[in-house]
Amino acid sequence: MRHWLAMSLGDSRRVWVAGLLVILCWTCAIASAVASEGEAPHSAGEDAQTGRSAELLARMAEAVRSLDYEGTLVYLHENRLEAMDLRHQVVDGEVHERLISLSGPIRAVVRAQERVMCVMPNGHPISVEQNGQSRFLETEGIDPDALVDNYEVRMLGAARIAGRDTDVVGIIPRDALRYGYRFHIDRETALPLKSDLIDQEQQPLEQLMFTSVAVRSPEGPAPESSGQPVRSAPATSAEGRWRFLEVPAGFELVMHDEMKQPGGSIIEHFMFTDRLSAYSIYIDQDMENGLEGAASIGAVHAAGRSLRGYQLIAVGEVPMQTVQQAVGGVRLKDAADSQ
Amino acid sequence: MMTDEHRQRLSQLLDGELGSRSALRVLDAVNGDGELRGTWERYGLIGQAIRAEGIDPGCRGIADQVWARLEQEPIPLPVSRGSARKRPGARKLAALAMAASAAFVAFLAAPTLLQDSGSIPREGDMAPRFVERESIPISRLQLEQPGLASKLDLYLVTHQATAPATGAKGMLPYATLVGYESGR
Repeated sequence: MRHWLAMSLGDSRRVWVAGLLVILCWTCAIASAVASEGEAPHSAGEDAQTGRSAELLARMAEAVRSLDYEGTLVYLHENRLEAMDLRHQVVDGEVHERLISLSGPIRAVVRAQERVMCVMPNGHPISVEQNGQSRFLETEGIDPDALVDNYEVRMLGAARIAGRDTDVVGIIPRDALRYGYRFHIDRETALPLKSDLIDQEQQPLEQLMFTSVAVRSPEGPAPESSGQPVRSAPATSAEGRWRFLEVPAGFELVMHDEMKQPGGSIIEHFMFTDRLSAYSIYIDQDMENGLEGAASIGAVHAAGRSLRGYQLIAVGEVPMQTVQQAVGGVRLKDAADSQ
Repeated sequence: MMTDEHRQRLSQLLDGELGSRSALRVLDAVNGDGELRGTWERYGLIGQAIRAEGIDPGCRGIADQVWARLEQEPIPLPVSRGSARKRPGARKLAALAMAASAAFVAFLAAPTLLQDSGSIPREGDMAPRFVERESIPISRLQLEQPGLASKLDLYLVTHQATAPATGAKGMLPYATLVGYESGR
């Protein structure tokens, strides 16, 4: 009896324990189900947002390249406002572009036939020639998937620009080493009717906006692209005598080029990018007209120094600390190896 | 076929003496004509050589110099005659009147303001708003040394021609170069 009683007491304890375990398991299962239910729409929403942003950015890049458009742009920076005339035409599959100031002395940039020409005040012209596809990487497009480490890409709503409805896509930098963008993309044509250069806090540093724009589809064939896009170009290592230490986080070397000067000297050009922002380091044998310290024009910053008979200058539309860190990390190989 | 008129127009363009419409025509001509392009570059070199001999580097930053002087100038405020002779009692009355007015305006306007602030959509509110950047005590590109300025312009144009965002933004990366001039 005592035994049975003992047995029954033990059984009832087991039953209680088993019951408690079952309740606990069910509670956990229900809690996790509720939690996962709560997360599912959020995650799906994020995916949808990223997908929509990527689609809009791809459409924008295509529209910028392949449509014919002409209009007046205003450029707002540091409480100043400048007006410019922009024309973009596709003629026989070749892009012809022209940007000219509408106030003050004539400043203009013309881009066509793999050549960029600039007329600057005080009349010193600049002509940069792209010799075939080998020298320069293709620069089209923005790939949101390649930016996730350094930027957050998301929809920021809608706005009306130049009398047209636009969707707003933000590419927001995750740190202070780079700038981002806020594009107001025309719903009809996908052209960026307003482009803001923004900092980490999404505050605009510069703004470009169409006040009027006429768009039409080109009659001839669309421009073709070939070559390695810079947005997906593999990172490379510096060959030759230069090494780059303490490269700003997220930036990689993707291009090395040599610019022959009229006097015969050669300027080495190294380009670093995080797949959106970029800076270039130029290394010149000619020590004349060197830059010691820092300079800027709008959001473009430059930092320079000399090193054992060479002049080093870093230039880019990136914060000052980025170009300063970049130029500070340049070493001559034998000197770097001995360190 | 390059003519004397072409040469003259080119010279005017590089001297900044050509109007916008004429400049556009010349630029198009330069773009499509190799001979004219060569002349354009030669004229540029001649201009640089001439400027290197005779130019006053400071004149490039004349707008900034004027701005700096204006900043230092005291701001003249209109002086109201007899303001010092006002009686203290009158001042108190004026202050009371102003306070009462402010309270009345606040009473009328507060509900509207509160209602508006609640209804402003967070997304899509894209009104231009500029952050006041810290002033960087550095010289801008193009400012003091013409030789260095030319070099930095060349570096910037070359950089923009190769930078990854350029393809997505078309000519917009060049807006800094074209649009930044009047403030220099």
